[in-house]
Amino acid sequence: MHPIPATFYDGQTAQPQPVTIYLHGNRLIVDGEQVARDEPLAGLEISEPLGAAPRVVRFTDGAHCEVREHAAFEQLLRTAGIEDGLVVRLQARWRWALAAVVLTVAAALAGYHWGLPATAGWVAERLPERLLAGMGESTLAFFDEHLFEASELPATRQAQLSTDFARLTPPTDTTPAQRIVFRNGGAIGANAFALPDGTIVVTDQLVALAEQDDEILGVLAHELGHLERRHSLRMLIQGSIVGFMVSWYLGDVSSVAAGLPGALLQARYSRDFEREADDYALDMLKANDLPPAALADILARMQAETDCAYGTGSDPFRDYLGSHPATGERIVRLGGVPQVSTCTRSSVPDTSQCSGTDNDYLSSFLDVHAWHCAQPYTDRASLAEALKQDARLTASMEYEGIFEIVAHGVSYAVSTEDYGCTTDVLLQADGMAEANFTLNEINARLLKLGYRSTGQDTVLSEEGLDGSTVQVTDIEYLTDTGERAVLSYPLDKPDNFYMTLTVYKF
Amino acid sequence: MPLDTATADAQRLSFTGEGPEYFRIWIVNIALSILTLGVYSAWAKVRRLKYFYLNTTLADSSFDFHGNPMAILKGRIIAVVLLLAYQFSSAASPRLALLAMALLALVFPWLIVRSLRFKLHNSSHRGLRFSFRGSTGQGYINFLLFPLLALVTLYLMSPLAHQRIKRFQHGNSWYANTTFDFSAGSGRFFTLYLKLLGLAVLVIALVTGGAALLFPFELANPDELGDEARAHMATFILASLAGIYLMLFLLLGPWFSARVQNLVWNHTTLGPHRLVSDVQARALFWIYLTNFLGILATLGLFKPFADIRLARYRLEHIGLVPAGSLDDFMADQQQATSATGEEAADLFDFDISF
Repeated sequence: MHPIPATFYDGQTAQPQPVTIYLHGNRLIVDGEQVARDEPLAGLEISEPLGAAPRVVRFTDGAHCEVREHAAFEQLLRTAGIEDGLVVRLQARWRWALAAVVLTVAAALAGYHWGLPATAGWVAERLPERLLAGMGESTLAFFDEHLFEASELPATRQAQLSTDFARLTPPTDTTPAQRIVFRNGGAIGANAFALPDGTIVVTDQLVALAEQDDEILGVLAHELGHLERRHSLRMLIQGSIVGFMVSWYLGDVSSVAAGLPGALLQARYSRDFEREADDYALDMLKANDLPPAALADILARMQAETDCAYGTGSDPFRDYLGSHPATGERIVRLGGVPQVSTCTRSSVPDTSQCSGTDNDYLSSFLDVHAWHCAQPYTDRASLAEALKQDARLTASMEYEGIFEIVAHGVSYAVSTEDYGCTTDVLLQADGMAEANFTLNEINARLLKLGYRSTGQDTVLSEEGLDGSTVQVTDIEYLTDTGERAVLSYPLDKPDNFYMTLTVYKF
Repeated sequence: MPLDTATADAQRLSFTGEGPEYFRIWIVNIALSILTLGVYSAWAKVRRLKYFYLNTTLADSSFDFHGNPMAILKGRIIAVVLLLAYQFSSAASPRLALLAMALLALVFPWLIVRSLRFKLHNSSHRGLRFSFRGSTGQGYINFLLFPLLALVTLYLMSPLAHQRIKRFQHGNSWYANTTFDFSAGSGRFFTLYLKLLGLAVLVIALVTGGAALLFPFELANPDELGDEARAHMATFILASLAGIYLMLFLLLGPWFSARVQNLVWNHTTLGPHRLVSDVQARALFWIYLTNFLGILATLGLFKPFADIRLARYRLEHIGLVPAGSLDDFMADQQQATSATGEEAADLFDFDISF
């Protein structure tokens, strides 16, 4: 083997000394004008390959050689039987880099979906209660200064509500420390929220909105649920972790920009928290023999109030980022009936038009539904035959067994299934800005038709038209004639999923 | 002082790192750190630093990094605890945050001095170590007292604080048996900050003026305006703020960074040898901008390429003007140090360069 040129440094002076190195058995020979070394390979520390950087051979006494003849040096190492470490081999190949990308992205998503809530929950449950005292004081002070006014409720009424609530048995063994305070909510209107230290704030407007005290107790139970599960604390911890990760990662890019994604990444969790608090409230109401619908009723009224103020459209931002999104869904879960908003729908929220005109798209859909799916059929063949004979419907060019009609530029379709009859429509047809009607609207209309919700509601991830995932809620009804019906309404991407109303007949 | 004219005989740093190569190291590092729940990140850091050090060459010899991953791991754990505690307390209550802040301020100077020691003691060139010999007491004066002075004078004294920090860092650094010296007086920092202020005012005036032209609005009490006029005003304010932020961050950021690097390095000497830096704000601006867009567009995957580009530009615009042979440095006694401070400072993103 040829000697390899290298530069030797003795570790005592900055003087570079040109040398050559070569193997001699299991020893490395360094040979130069003023250097002659003969070192056992085992005692050497050899740096990993790092691109164009020199390989460094370090001797036990602090001297070292820099080798820039990479190919020849690698040959020498192979001859000596010295192999690259595992990490070096991973770093050398694009396929491992790709695997690392996949792993990293998967871990980031999994961490966000499961790891983060789990960690926050774990930490939140372990923080001692006395640490929470005073947390939220500043929030309340902020609201008091900028939004709230002192409550106009008589002190006796405040005390009565607090005592009534204190008398209830909570559904769990332990009760978090709590303190109910009343405020005039001002622009916030009818609302209630819980702070980490156990303060539950109730606005006068909420008390006024309630038709029975049970409803207020339901809302208080919901807030107690937030406290029991330490939701605001978990949010806080999650926020800290997200902020920490993002600023670590983006630190050099911009520290201010780093705060923004953190806030966006947080919002998704609040939906789950609302559900948990709802369940807690439901348990609490049941445990105290109070009507379980109390919470649903006041929620429906709160929703109607908000809808008239902000318009009913399914603004994607409000739905995805709002902390109380999909209120209709929550009401249905709680066994209630979403309030039909009497506001007309328009792309721009307009509070002046709070009068009751019907939604043409929704009416058309229900008409088409009534033609066949609401009719009695005993088997699939007779339904198929009836569809074929119906002059109003034309057979779809693309799909066997599907018949459609176009009205207001939207296609409504009826199809036969093994088990029944389905009517479907693309809620947001091509060129339209938003869904043609909301879940609340169709739910309200179905209830008016005499359909009853069975409470069997699920949210599923379905494949959309373009293959992406769509969140779909399935709501089960018993029709006025006692048949089972399921409404599948896409909660997001109304332009990417056919909303279906299926009646089980055969 | 530009390298090309005044100092044709300057020995420039050269950097041989490559984006694709470093990308693989970076992503494998991240994946392994995830698989080991963060433990590997200390080893990852050593690999990363070795990549940058060994690929940096001065006068035909590479730099090298000798940090011990275990020491870094220890520091990393402390840093994560400190940062999480701070994040959490600041979110929880302002009083707690203030307390945490005060506590951090008290340990910071100590951590920074430790960190400087660790970083320099573990850096070498031609087999000889660098070292940092500033005392912890001096650290408290320069990293706590002067920043506090800047704070109570409403940042009027920031240039002085900045100068003291740089003087402390550079003036107490050693290579082998030779000390670095730092000769830039505070006057130069005041001049630089004055220029920065002038540019900032200019940028803000231009952006708000431009926004007012693009989004005309009625200047009045918002309460007395109609919805439409109020929307116009909101658009104007949002556009101005976004514009100011982007301009300050993208334009003034690189400009200031370039000027500081040049000022600091052009006034640093190593024994008889002089250091020079000729970083240009325009070039740095372009790198910042394209890096920012690249990272944004690739959801972060461009980060290693961005790191390499920035390092290459910054390093290759630093040089050393030798006054005599560079072979005459002699080893000095070496001291061991712990990485604790180094790590905490890394996470808090302090500017401890080189």
